[in-house]
Amino acid sequence: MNNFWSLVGFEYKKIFIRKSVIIAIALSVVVVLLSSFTMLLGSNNMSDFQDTEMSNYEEMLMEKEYQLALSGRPIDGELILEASKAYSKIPSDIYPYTDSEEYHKYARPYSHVLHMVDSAYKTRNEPFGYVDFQTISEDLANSYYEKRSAQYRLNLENNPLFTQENVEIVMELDNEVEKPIIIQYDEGYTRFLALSTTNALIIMILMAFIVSPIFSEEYQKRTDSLILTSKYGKNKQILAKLFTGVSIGAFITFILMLVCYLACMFAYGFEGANAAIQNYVALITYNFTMLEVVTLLFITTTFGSFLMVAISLFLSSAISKPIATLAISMVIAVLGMINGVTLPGLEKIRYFSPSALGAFGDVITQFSWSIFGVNIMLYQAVCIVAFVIGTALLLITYRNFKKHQVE
Amino acid sequence: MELIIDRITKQYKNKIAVDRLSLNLTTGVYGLLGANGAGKTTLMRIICGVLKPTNGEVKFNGIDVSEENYRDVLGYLPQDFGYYPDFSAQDFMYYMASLKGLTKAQAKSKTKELLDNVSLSDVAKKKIKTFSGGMKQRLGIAQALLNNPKILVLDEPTAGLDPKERVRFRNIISELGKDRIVLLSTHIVSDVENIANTILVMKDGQLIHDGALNEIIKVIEGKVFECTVDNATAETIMTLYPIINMRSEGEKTFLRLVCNTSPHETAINVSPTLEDLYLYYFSEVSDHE
Repeated sequence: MNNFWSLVGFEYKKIFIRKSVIIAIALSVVVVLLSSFTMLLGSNNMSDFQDTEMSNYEEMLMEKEYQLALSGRPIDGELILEASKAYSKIPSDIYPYTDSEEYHKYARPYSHVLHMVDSAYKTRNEPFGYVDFQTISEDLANSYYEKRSAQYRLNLENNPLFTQENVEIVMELDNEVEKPIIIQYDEGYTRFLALSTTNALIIMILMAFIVSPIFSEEYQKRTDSLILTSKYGKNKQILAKLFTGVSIGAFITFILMLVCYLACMFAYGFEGANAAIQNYVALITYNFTMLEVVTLLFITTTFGSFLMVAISLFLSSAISKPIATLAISMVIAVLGMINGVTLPGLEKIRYFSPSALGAFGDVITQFSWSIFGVNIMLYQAVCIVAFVIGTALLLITYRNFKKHQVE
Repeated sequence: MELIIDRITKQYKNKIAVDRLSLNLTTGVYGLLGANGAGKTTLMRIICGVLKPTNGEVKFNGIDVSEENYRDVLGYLPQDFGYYPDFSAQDFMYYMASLKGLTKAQAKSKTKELLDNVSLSDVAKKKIKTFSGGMKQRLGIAQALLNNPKILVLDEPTAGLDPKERVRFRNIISELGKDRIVLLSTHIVSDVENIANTILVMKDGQLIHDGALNEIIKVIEGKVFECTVDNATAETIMTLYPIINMRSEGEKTFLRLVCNTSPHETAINVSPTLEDLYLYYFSEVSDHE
């Protein structure tokens, strides 16, 4: 076993001896950090009715203060009507309404309430705007949770990817969601979730870049002959390569996500770990807290990274040119992020791509499958599929290199 | 100790690279000669298990070429020796030692000993990408010896070595051949001539000669001639016979050639060498490989 760890050490050395790898990792960390802080950089003059300039950081602190003031209050008819009353003070002749003194003085502290309820009250053709909110009836305000459910059911029923059975399963989950939903300040968490798509893409591209040469470079450098004629060349060495790829994938994924998480927490505050996910996506029927969703995203992104590593290693073992391996891996990484790239009847396939496994918006989508009477939600299915396909690809990769012919 | 190569055939689409070749190798140095495209490298790759033959099998003391135990006793220097440019010679040796199953302590002592043997101790910590061709080749030889192999396969091991290094290499190989099977291929006939106990000559994928030097050159005994003739006669002779050596000496030309009968009345019959045999067989073979 000692030789195995020694071989793993050398595989790490082969990877990290490349300056381009160090630069790519450093660049990824910088981009992740920048994207976490970018909303706080600079200033704008739209935030204040007196047209005074305010830095984005100061504005965030102000918003935080408003939301903290609301934290702990339930979303119910009373709060909705209170917020509506504040919004009703905005005069109708100022455009945009956010420039008005009344908005900043009365309504802005309640803007989070509007943000949370608008998706439930909108109709199919009309968005629910501040004007509608100004005149919301007591009945409508008190029936927020009924409206929320009805709206979500309507959305799902109008989505051709959901069967009626799926819809019922999703709506059933709503019984688990604690109501009334309690407002909590959770900007650090929502920023982290909002950045997940970008992070996933960065991670998957980085994975492809780091892992692609693991086998193909041996062919290109003609070191394959030396490896395959050595005692452990056709067993331990291949396992060491696979372990190296997978462990680097898991480690870098964890580090990059942790960097982003901590950056968001330090920038926006650590509050909100126990906030319900409905604070961010009001209609969703998962009974998750923000911290649970972040943990889930760490897990699904790691599975996505595992799949990406397996794909890259497989290509690396099958194609002798590292650049071709890298190009194909990168295309796969990017394709998963493009919503429009779907084949009729196979629209759900995209959700199983490595990058989609790291994107909050994709992972949280409430598709479900009933297998042997057990309902499997998308976030569970993507992990299972990534593990099964990834493992199968690693087995094929093992065989590919073992059977490689030096010609 | 016996390496059995049993009716090996390697066929590509339209070409047979190795054609039903059988050999039994025991302790000693075997020199494999053949023109480009004769099938030497293909045969060596098959013996090392990195190329699967279309037919036939290779076994060492009953162990199949595909088994780990076979690779455990194998040392291989490929023709196109691959390396990691950013590794130091020492790291490269340590890595190869890990691949060959050596412990850390064994790897350390063997690396020191072998780098010393191939005169690379001074540059052990330098990156391989800074090495000359000869230094890389010496490193390749050193790695092949790390596991003290029972079968040592060296494909063009002297390529890139200067004359002094070649002499040193020959001595190392002669020593190694005492208690193991060494199979080496080369274009440099004098290397084989000096160190091989048995010479194997391949042509078109087949073994056309297999024996000690004095046995195989019997084929051209009485057929090697030397003569010094005027330039016009030399031109005529050169069109008729395979020329082994030619040297201009003012108005005249010195020729060494192989032919069944005396090519000129002034020609004298001389003792054949391995190079004569090689050129006799391969002077008309063009590059295929």
